[in-house]
Amino acid sequence: MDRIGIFIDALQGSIPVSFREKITTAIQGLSNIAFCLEEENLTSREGLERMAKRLEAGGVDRMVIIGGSPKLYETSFHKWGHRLPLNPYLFAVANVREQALWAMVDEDAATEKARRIITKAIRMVSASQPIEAQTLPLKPEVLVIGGGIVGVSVAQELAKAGVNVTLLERGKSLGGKALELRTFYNRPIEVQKWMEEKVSEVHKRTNIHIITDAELKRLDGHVGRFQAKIQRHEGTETTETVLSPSAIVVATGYGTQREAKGIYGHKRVITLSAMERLLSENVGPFLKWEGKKVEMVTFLLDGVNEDIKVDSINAVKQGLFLQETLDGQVAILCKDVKVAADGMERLYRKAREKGVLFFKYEEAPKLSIVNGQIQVDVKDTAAIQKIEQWPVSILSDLIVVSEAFMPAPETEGLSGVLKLHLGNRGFLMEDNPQLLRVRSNRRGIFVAGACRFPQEVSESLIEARAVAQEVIALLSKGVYAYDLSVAEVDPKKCAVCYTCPRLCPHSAITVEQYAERNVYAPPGPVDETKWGAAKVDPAACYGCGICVAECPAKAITLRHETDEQIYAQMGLSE
Amino acid sequence: MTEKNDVLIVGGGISGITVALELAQLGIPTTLVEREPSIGGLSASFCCKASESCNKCFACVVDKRISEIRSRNDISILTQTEPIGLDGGPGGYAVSLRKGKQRLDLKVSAIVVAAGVDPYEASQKTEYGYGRFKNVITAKDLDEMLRYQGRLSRPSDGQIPKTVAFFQCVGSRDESIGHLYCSQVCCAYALRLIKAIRHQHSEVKATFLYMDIQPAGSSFQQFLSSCREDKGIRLIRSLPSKVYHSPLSDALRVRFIDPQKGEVVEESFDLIVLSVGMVLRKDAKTLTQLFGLRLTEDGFIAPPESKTGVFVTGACSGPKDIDRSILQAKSTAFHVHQYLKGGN
Repeated sequence: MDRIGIFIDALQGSIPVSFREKITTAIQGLSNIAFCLEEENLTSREGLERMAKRLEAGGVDRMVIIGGSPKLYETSFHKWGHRLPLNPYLFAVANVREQALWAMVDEDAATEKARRIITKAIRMVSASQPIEAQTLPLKPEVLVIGGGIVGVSVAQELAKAGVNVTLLERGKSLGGKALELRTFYNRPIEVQKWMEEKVSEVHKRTNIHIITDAELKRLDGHVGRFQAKIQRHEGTETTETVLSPSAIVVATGYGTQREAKGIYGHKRVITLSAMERLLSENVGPFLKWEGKKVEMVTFLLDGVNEDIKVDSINAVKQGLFLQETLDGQVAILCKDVKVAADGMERLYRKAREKGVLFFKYEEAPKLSIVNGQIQVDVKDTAAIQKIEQWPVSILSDLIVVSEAFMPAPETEGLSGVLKLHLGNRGFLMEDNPQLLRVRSNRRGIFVAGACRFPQEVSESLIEARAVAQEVIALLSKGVYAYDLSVAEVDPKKCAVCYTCPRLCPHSAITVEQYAERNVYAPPGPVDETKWGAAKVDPAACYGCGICVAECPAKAITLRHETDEQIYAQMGLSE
Repeated sequence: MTEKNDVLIVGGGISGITVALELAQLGIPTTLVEREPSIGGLSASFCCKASESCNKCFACVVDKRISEIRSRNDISILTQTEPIGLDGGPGGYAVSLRKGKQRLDLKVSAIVVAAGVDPYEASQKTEYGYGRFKNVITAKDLDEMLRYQGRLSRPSDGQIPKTVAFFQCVGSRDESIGHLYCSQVCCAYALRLIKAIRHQHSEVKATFLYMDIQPAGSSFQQFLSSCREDKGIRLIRSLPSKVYHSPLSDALRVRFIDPQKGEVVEESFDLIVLSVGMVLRKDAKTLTQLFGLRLTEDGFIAPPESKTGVFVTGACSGPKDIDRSILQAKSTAFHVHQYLKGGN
């Protein structure tokens, strides 16, 4: 028979004596109570020590605190490093102060409500089962997918911190799209040289293993014990390796797509990255294009990528260089000037001072060919003018347009292999404040850089280090500790209907072979290799309970939130 | 020599809290000092800005982090405390702290400065009448009103305003006050506030007066389209020039250019909300002197150029939203860890 110990916490007098007396009287009639003690302040170190002593004296196997919010006790247990002498799942808090005493005006009504809250808490602990904590060993081994600027930086940082890294790149060499940049907008660095130094450092590191021309084909397992099958193509040959990393970082970057219909396919319409290349290859005091001096350049932005700052930043950077150094005249047409980056407002103002013209449009500008040059007609909404004065016409030698940022072509396939969510426009992961930017829907898998959302390089580098921090924080203890208050499948009831693995937002459920017979197995001899049952990986489960609610066979329970416990609280027998 | 690995974190806002929590995860003990009586900083007074669904304002993340740090015993939190003296150099610092009349001395091997920001003092923009007109408030005032009172009301009479105007870039991107930077957060912040208000009181009509809309994150485009589609929200590209008080009512007249008409117009609003930008906390200047740090040309704290064991993180190093502050704090924690390990 259960013996329940009860502590009434006066919370430094905020539950008055008269009320405590009424509670004590109300409890007296209940069965299975071993003792009922009053404490002045259970959240203090001394109070907790007295409580622990009383529990150690024995005679009880469950405990209820009657007092304030459960959070109050949780916090102070943690804070004082207090260990309950009994399993933490055999313990409940009846919050009579906030829910009865403070909520009710009439003291009798408050007593009645307190009595009900206490009864529920007692029934709840009576129906509870102990749940043990477990640990999982973690090796300092990480797989980084993508050899661009973010992937290389993550690998570099992790290697410095003593982690063995495998860096996987689909292409022939490392470096990615950063090599297309000439300069950064905010730092006087030659990007290509800087990136090459970074790549050569990564090559020198003994604890970074680089695999190029390779991709991830299959991923099994969960945090701490992933099984990653990697396929490498060498000429016509294909080799396969299986790695077992503890954590995975995805940094596969982005792709671009160019609109080239009609006039946008004209040779005088080029992309921002083509302009970057022109500028880095150009020699002499002015920009040459097909052997002639370029006088007028118009940047046409925000046709695509309206919510991405990078285009605005690159256009202002290139425009300023053209205007200041290459004796050109530049106009930048956009919906909004995106200056929400450090130092960007100053760069924008400098560009304006140097003579770069800015136009803000709402209606898409019209392009036409006039004498071999391209004319842009734009209605500027920023200037004070009468509608009759619209539009402004600009005749340009070159039109620079942005390319639409897309997820890298392999992203969708990769999201299937890794079982990661796809967010807006097919980039990896949605904005989720609870996961911050770098965590994914799966424990142990992190997402960084432009494969999540294209952004400015210095911000991507901060993200790379934040990922490194997340990974080190996960791996540094060498074990992952978790408790088993998670979902659990009863294999006898599971019909292998695949509802739960499809619904699990964290991909914590897989269907595995299970020796026991299934309730929905057809009559006749049972093929044991054919029938399985769903299995929840407790280290990967977040305990959200979606599978519990959806399982048609009611085969899944959430430990510590079982039907028995809830029915018991409601005073219903199942 | 465990004491040698201690890290002092100056500033108990979301950045300081995150650095402390991240270092604690790596087994590095920290001391967090905060000048105010409670931790949480500027972002602790923000309200949830969800409408039909979450609008990604990150206010709940701050609340969670605050309760997380309170339940840890490996982070010592000193409130109403400020550093007043510094001795030693890279490798080992001796910091003197003042808590009321008490003085404390602490030996640490690294210092993280996360001094935070103040909202721009809106009364300096005299043309908008903040401090003179009751119904001109800042976005922070509105945020606190929603958080602590739970409802929108007009300061003059406690009634729900029918028309609200949001002025963007108050104290940001403004050459007249020498602020040549974008505060980076206010566009999304004000639009989220509008959404939250419109969700609570659909009869309130909002007008958003701006220069350029700055995007924020991967779901911003959808969010912005939902604002544009909302008939109760007008987005007008025009910064107002002046606010006039009308003697007969509590309403305020606002003068701005209507870009559609190309004319100067005047319109009356029940409540005006100023989207104030960020400036470095006033009292952070003494910290920079104490720790030998420089200011950037925008008036924020510049990171030290060489490895001195002093780190700067959060919005005090340049305007940042909660999301980016947390991200940078994690990155800083990684730097600190590397520094203490003696790696490069």
